[in-house]
Amino acid sequence: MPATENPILPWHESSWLRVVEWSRLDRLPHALLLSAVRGSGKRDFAERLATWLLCSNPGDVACGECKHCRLRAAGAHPDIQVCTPADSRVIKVDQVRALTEFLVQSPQVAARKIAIVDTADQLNMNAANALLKTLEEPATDVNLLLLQHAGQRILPTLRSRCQVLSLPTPPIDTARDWLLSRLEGEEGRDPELLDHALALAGGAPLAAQALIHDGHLAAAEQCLSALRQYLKGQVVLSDAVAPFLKEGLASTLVFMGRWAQDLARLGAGGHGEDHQAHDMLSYLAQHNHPAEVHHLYARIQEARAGMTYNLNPELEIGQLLMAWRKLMPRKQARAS
Amino acid sequence: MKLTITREALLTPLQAIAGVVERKQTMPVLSNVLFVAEPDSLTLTGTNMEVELVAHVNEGLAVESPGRITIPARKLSDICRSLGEGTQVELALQGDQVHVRSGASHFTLSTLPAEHFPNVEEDAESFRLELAQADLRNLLEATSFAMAQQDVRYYLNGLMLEVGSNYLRAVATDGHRLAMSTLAVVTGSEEVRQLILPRKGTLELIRLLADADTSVMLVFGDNHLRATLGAYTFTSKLIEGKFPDYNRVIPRGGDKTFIADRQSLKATLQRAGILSHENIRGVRLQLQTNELGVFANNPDQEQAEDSLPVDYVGESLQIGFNVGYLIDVLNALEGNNVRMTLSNANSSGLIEDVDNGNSVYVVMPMRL
Repeated sequence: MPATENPILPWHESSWLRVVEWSRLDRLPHALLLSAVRGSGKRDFAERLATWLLCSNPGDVACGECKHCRLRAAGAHPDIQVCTPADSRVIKVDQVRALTEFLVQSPQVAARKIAIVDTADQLNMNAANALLKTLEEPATDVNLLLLQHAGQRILPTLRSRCQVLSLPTPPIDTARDWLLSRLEGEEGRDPELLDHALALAGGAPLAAQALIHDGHLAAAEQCLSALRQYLKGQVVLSDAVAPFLKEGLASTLVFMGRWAQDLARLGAGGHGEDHQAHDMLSYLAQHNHPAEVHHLYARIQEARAGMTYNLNPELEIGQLLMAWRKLMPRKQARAS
Repeated sequence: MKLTITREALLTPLQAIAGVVERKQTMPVLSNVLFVAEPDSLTLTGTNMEVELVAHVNEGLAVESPGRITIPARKLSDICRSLGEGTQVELALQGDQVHVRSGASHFTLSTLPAEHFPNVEEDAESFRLELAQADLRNLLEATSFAMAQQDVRYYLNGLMLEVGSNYLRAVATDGHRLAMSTLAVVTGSEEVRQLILPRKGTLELIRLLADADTSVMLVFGDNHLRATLGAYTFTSKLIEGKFPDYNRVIPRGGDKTFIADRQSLKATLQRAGILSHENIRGVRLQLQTNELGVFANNPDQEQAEDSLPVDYVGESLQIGFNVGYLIDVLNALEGNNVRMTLSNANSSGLIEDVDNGNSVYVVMPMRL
């Protein structure tokens, strides 16, 4: 729900001012594609922008006093619709049709209508096509805000109809400070823990916060140790899959994506971010050509794109683990 | 807020509003009705994001302390209905709950604050027009059946209302047939104004209009159409877009005109229609001097043949139509005799009443 009462996320400030400036110059595009790393606060930015656009006397931020701001705070503003996957991983065509119907009618209480699509990469093929027409020629009082996880594919015809605004991922210090302020008075303010969470979340603070809050960090450790044992041949595949499966395919892909990135960094002579996985990854990095590592990373990305369809999580995790195993030096593999 | 009201004074508007409020709401506050109690009046408001209905109550009412709050619409309406006739109902807000008392019955309902309710504020109005409810109702009923449903041409999913200096006109079309009805009324409008009322709003408005001479005030705003009838104020959103130029659709210069009895033509079409293709519903009309033959067949090789006497002299003509569209038109007309004007098998047909030319209907032919 709209978080107008919270201040804007510090790393969004410059992007925010840019959008405000566009609007002042009457150059705000009818469709914005907000692209950012998963868990870095895109939706917060979009909701905030929606509130600001609806507000009847906006300054640099929404006033918080007018009827529109109040309705937004109550989650009851009739002139905004959010399209997000309902009980599946994709946004279906019927949802887009309902959105289109909403967008061609006059606004109920405000001067304009706002649609948020969270996220555009989850639109299935039919839904994406159904959105094209609206995106191309919306009524003059429509603002479309499409969200996109950085690196996820969306239909090029969708992208070309939007102005892309890439929201930054904060530098590690900003992220750490923000996390600390968020975790005020709670357990788990241990700096090492924070860094670990941030590393796993790819530097995305909201994702890191979720990791800490939902106790995923311990689970990540279990996953890591399962992977480690599987690589050494100490456990069979089905046992190695279990802890990953418990976390779900989405988290699995996040974890594995992180490790694969670290692996690529180490292979290129850089440093990894996840210290707990350092020993394992540097061993793998020593014994593999960087091309192999990139191949693995591509495989993980592919699985992420495939998530929009109905992948069987167990099979998919199993296959990914086997892809990791291929990186083990042969002698070691035979010995196990 | 605290007030006492007779059951009937509350129940009637509440039921009308509960009819607008949909059961399945995405936002909790929308399943509530907004109560605004002033010292000597009570206003109830319900909305489903497309249409809003406001009811004003000032009889059978005693307001002890004014206030504003939203109360679950269906529950309150069910409670009122179940109470005995003629009883007094007391509504009192305490904290964030409202207490409903009547005799020995006592109910406590949850509420949501009034400022969470998205009620429509008065638009910048551009034009207003007063007319009899029955006239407006006839106009809408004569045309609304032809509105498109979920068409990608979104401007067809509604009814177009047009005001000129001496008429009010309603037009609806789904691309296959068109219905147009005109009411002669001095409007005082200097320019021709158009708006498109969405499908849902049109149907709700028809439901509200009485078949009586009492008046209704239509207010054309930039974003809304507002209709004030008696104690109710109805507001609907509009469809933003340009309605197609309907004048170009109405066929001119048809030279084959026949007159038929409406009821017997309808009955004949219905009989033949039974054996038409389930989805396509095509029937073939064979027009010749003083006789109209109607033929239908379906993929199962079943056939229907029927005919009726009509008033026609001229060349014979064979033409196919969707029987459903023809029957819809014959249902919407009211007179005894209808006139149908055709020109050839590829041009659309024009149907109107013989005595009353206010409504005209255009149906596209089919190739069979």
